[in-house]
Amino acid sequence: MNLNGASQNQGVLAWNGTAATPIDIRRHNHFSFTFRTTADLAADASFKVQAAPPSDVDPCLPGTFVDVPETLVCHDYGPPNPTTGFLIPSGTKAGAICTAALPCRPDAFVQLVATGGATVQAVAVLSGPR
Amino acid sequence: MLMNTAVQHHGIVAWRAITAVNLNPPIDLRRHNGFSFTFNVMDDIDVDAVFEFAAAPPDPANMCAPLLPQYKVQEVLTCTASWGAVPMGDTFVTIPAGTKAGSVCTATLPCKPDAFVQVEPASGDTGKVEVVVTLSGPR
Repeated sequence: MNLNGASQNQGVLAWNGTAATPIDIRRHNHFSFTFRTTADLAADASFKVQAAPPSDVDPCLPGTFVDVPETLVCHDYGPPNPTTGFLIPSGTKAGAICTAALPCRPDAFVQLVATGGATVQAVAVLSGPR
Repeated sequence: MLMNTAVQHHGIVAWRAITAVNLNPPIDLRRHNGFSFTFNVMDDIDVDAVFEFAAAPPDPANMCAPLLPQYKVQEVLTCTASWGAVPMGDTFVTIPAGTKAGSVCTATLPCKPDAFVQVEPASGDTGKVEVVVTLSGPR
């Protein structure tokens, strides 16, 4: 029988090709991203991750977003970059899928800032409802 | 440490109403063990938003594409159905009127209907809902 895996792994559109949606990650144990190309990429598509605390006015909304600095993991060397990002390289074919995650939870909200991502969709996968 | 759960649960946009074109690509189910849907309500629902599902086998001329025309997925009863219940025909998912913006609903089908499945708007405020399919367990 086919199980409802989405009940534990909800998908929320984080980047639709033109605009980003802030993602509230407070209610789940994990978050990660699925990137899917909708056309062949003629140039790199890069995504920077920003994070924000809840707004003082409305805790359901994000406050001011700032870049998330890179967090090094065991197989990394050197000083961390001041920003965290993902790159979908030029030449990637339409329909390709790439997944990525951050090593840590940066804050209550995250959002993607894209450069050249007009033919890429990004979905945040929110796993393990609290 | 945060885990990349998307490796095992790919999220793909399955329905999004936009101005120029309704975006609902056929979803290839053959490479994953499970599939299910997240319905994200983007605006308050005034009229029941009803979705239905179409399915298709691969096109013999291009195995990566569905054979057209697709057909409507029929309801499959599960153990929770009442004794003597009869399938109602086409399968629907309804986001009821009164549902508030920001609500999240998940759903799935009991069985894999075919190689491809597609989310289709049936009636109501479907334009206020974004649907993501979660493809779980890569084969």
